[in-house]
Parts: sequence; C-alpha cells; structure tokens
Amino acid sequence: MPLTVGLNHKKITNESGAPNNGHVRPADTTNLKNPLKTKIYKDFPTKCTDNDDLLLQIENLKTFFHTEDGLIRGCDGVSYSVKKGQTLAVVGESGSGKSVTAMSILKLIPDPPGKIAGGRILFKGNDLLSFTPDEMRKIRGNEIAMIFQEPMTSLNPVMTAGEQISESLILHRGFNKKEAMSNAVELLSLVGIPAPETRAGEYPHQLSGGMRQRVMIAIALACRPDLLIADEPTSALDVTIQAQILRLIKKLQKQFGMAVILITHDMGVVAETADMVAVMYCGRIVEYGTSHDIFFSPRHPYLKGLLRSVLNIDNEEDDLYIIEGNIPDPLNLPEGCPFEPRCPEKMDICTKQRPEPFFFGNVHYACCWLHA
Amino acid sequence: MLNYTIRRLLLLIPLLFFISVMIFGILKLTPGDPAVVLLGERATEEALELTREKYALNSPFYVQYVKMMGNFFTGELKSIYYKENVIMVVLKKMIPTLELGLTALMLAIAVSIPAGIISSVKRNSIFDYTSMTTALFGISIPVFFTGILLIYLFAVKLKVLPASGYGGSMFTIEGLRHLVMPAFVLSFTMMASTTRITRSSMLDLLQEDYIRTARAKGVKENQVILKHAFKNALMPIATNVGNQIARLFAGAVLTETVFAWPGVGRLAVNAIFRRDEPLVFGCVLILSVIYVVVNLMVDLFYGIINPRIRYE
Repeated sequence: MPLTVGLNHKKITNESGAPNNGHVRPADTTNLKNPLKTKIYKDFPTKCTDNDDLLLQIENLKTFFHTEDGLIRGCDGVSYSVKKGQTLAVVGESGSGKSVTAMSILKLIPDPPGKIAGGRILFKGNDLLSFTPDEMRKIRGNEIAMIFQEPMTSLNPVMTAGEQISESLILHRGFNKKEAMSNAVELLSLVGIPAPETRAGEYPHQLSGGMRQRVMIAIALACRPDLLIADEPTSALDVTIQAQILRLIKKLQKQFGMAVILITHDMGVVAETADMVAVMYCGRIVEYGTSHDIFFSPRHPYLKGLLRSVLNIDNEEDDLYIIEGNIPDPLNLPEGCPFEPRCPEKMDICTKQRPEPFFFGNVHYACCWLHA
Repeated sequence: MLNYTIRRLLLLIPLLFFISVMIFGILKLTPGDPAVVLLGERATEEALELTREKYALNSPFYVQYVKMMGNFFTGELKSIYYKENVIMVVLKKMIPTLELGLTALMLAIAVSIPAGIISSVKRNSIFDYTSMTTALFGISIPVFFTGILLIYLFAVKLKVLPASGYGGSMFTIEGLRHLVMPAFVLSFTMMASTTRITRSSMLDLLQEDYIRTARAKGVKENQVILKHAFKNALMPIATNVGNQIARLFAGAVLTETVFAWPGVGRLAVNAIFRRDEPLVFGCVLILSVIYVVVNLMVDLFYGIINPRIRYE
C-alpha cells in the first residue's frame, strides 16, 4: 500500500504492506541521510496534510493556565499528528504537559484557570477549536474517547458499571435503556470481565482496580471511537494487571482499527506499543520520531538520559543512572532551552536561545542546539 | 433492609427509656412546686399536702417515674392545667406545628438546593455572592429577631400580613396568610445552612475525576451537574437536612412564641411556665420520639442514595 511520508511528498511503499503502519522506519530506507536535516519545524505539519490517513493533527497548540502566581504554559506550541490505527506514545515527566495536551484535544481543560491560547486541533480535517460546546460534545465519547489514570476515582460511585457504560450509547447512538444495557454487557465481556451480566449491575466499589480500568475501557469503546486517548492507563495498577490492560488496549485497537494516543512515563510500555513517540519536557516536544528512532538513535540529551535511567536486567552497572536536578519551576522557565540547567552537554547558546527542531530524516527531530 | 429497620426500631426502646429518665430527672431538679402552682399561693398546707399525695409528689424519685410512665402509656397522665390526657393535648397542637414545620422544610429545600447548585456552578458570580451573604445572615441572625423584624415590616409598616396567630388550616387563604411569615422565619436558618452545604459539596464533587469522565463521555453539562455530581452531593445534604429537621422543632418553640402560633412548641413553653410537669414531660417525650424517628429515616435514606451503604 503506497504511503506518503514526510516533507518531500516522496511516495514510499511499505514492504510489509500493513495498512496500519503509518510511518516507514528509517532503518528500511535511506532517510537518515535526508538533505532536509535542519528543516525548520513550523513548516512541518501543513506539508503533511495531503495524507489521507491522517486522523488527528495538532498544530502549535498552546494551553495556558492563568494562576494567581502567574502564567503557566502547560502546553507551549505542541504539534503532533496521529494516523488511523496508529499508536502515538507521549512520554515525559509529571508536569511536562502530556495530559494538558491530551485534555486540550477534548477541550476538557478546566476554565478558569486554563485556556487554549492558540494553535489548531484538526480532527478529520476539522478544527476542534472552532467547534461549539454542543458540537464538541458529539465528538467526546463518540469519535474521541479517553481513559484516565485513576480507575479508583474515575467511575461515579453511585452509578452501576452498566449504567455508566450505557450512558454514552444512549447519548450518541440514541439507544433506549434496555438496548444500551445489553450492549454494555457485551462490552464488559469484550474487555474481559467474567460474569458480565452480574458485573453490569454492580457499583464501582464492588470492583477491583483492574476491573474498574476495564470498565473505563468499555465506557471509552462503547461508541467505537476513531481515537482513544489513554492517559497513563496503567500507572495506578499493579504490575501484573498493567500488562493485561496494555495487551487489552492493543488487542481492541487492532480489532476496531482505532488510533491510540498513549500517555505514559514508562519507556518499557512505549517500546512495546508505540509506532510514533513524542518526548515532552516543560510543555514542549523535545524529540519526536518513530519508536525505532527514539530507542536506537536518541538525539536529545534529555531522551538519552531517560533511556539510560530505564532499569535493565542486563545492565552491569551498580547504580541506576539519574538525570540530575528537577524540572524547572513552570512560572520561571529558563529563557533558552528548558532542559539547559540539567543538561550534561550544555553549550553557551543553550542559555540564550530556545532551540528549534532539527530534523534527522522525514519525521525524526530533536529540539537541541547540539544538532544545529 | 427490613431486618435492619426492625432492629433499629427496637433499639429506639432503650434510647427512649434513657431520654425519658433524663427529662424526668431534669423536671424534678427544676425549682417550683406543682402543688403550689395548681392550688395557688394562698392554699393551705393541708390542701397542698393532699394534692402532693394525689399526684404522688412525695414518693421517691423512681416510684414517681414508674407511675408517670405507666400513666403516660395508659393515657392516664393528665395535664395539671388542662386536666386532660397529655397525649391528647399534645396531638391537638400538633397540626399547627406540623403545618408550620413541613412548610418551612419544603420552603427551605425548594430554595436552598437550587441556590446551592447555582452558586457552585456559577462560582464567584453575583448570584453566588448574594446567596452566600444572605446565607451568612440566615445562620447568624436568631430566629426570634428575624421574626420581630418581619412583623415590624410586613404587619406594622406595610400592613399586608397578620402580625401573629393561627388563621385556620393552611389550605385556606386566611390560614396561608398567617402561615407565610412564621414559616419563612423558621426555614431561614435551615435554608442558609443547606445552601452552604449544597454549594460546598457540589464544589468538591465537581472537581472529582468521575465528573471529568462524564464530560469526556459527552454528557450534557446540566446532566453532569444534576445526574453525576448532585446524586453524590445528596449524602451530605441529607445529613444536614436531617439535623436541621431536629433544629426545626427547637426553632418552632421560638417561632411559635414570637408569632403566638398555637403549636407544640408554645404549648411546651407555657407548660414550663405553669410548672405543668406531666405536660412538659409529654411534650418533650413526644418531640424526642419525632426526633429519633426522623434520624432513623435519614439513616435509611442513606441506604437508598448511597450504594456503598447496604444494611444487612
């Protein structure tokens, strides 16, 4: 199947022909020697729009929080795109703006204090930022669904699991209560909950953490969305359950051909699931590329540090590597590169000027002066 | 649920026993001789002694208690002043009190819950500030003072409402005109505290993760507020309303006195002034029964609104 990739509109045939594989890995091509290496990033998204497979495209999204102490740039000029059926992993520390970006897509940022200050969110070619609240509601839970980090608190304690799943079916599909409930039972069995008829009538406090997250997934999948945003879906679960939930999301993604934005800080999860990876730091994407790029040729010192600090059973070193320091105060970001205070490879320019994206191929880029 | 209810009802027996002993004890500790009250200041010592004998006022504490309780249940406990069975006396005054209390309750709920919800949703708006300031007054100003202010304004100055008294059944125009002011005065405190509780619980709940989940599902905003948030807010609101119903009776004593409302509250006050021990005993005991039954109903209501509470 012919796929259009990247900036130069070059048609590349994917050798496996898999329909859901949006990007061709650099290892399969000679993209690494692309002359567009230092192409400025702001031209990048618009040149990609000719791709029919593009489902979601965020351009220069800015979400700011007006707090009493000052302005916090939760998400400061983020751009990424997701193709049909593809998985984009967004990684970064707490407070790096991963969730803010995701919540901005659904326009669920609490206002006040939050406000989407600029950019575009193109979903199937339409800018969600221009949608009225009513139009937006028809997208939420229907075409874009979201699952959250805390299954313990994300379900309404006074509604049964079945009621909570049927709610979106009643809203978006116009089902009556009975149809919706029988559908909810089917969904519960789809997400691997035993005895779904009984469970549908149970309240969240009667379910375990893993089961609640399965119920959350069932709620999200009720209307067969095109895009699923999973905001750290496994962080609050114990390790054995984490693997099950990830496998379930992956299986259902294949089954329904959904695209997934997976927000996580677990590099292992990224390696297992992602097609594309965006690494975020202080509200900005610092490195973006295919999963292969990210793991085999990391360019940004922050990403290199992240990868070095992953626990590895084959690692002979005694101590686990840590990135020194903390993320800067979001109220007082450094003028230059936000990673500069912690960067082991910093240069003079880093303190003065914010780095632009520098490309290593069609999609892989890093915002770091080292590669200028 | 049924078993639980029966068990709770049985538990009321020792509770009410304890309450009755307390009431009786306090009555006996209050200064004043019922015999003197009954016969007047100038009664002879013999006559007083005879009366004390008749009402067993000379017997030991427990004998008097047992006798009074026995008489209470057989309906032979007679008010000294009314010379009538105390249960009958109290029940006769119950209708005006219930009219007043229930109207106040309905009024308070009908105003405070919507006001609390709107305040929480439109936080820091003019509506929010206005209702919170009014609520502050409602909580701070004593019932009798609000009552006197209203009487001065509506009865003395504007002359639109009767100053006091009972105008007959609340389903007649005259009855309703008499009811308006006392009912509002009585409901004011309850209105204020329920508005505040509703607002603060709604503000907490609107921050919850499951509210975000509901919004992410595409649920309409008014449904998010009424179905997802308010259903959870019912718990603290029900607790507060339960407590307030109890205070309603305390407030009724003051309101009924200010507005000369012929209810149980005023009956109890008058009975105390007249040293009508059996009637005071009857009034307080009957009000206590209502109080504990209301509390039981609130507890049972929890089981309906909160699935995490299941009574076995």
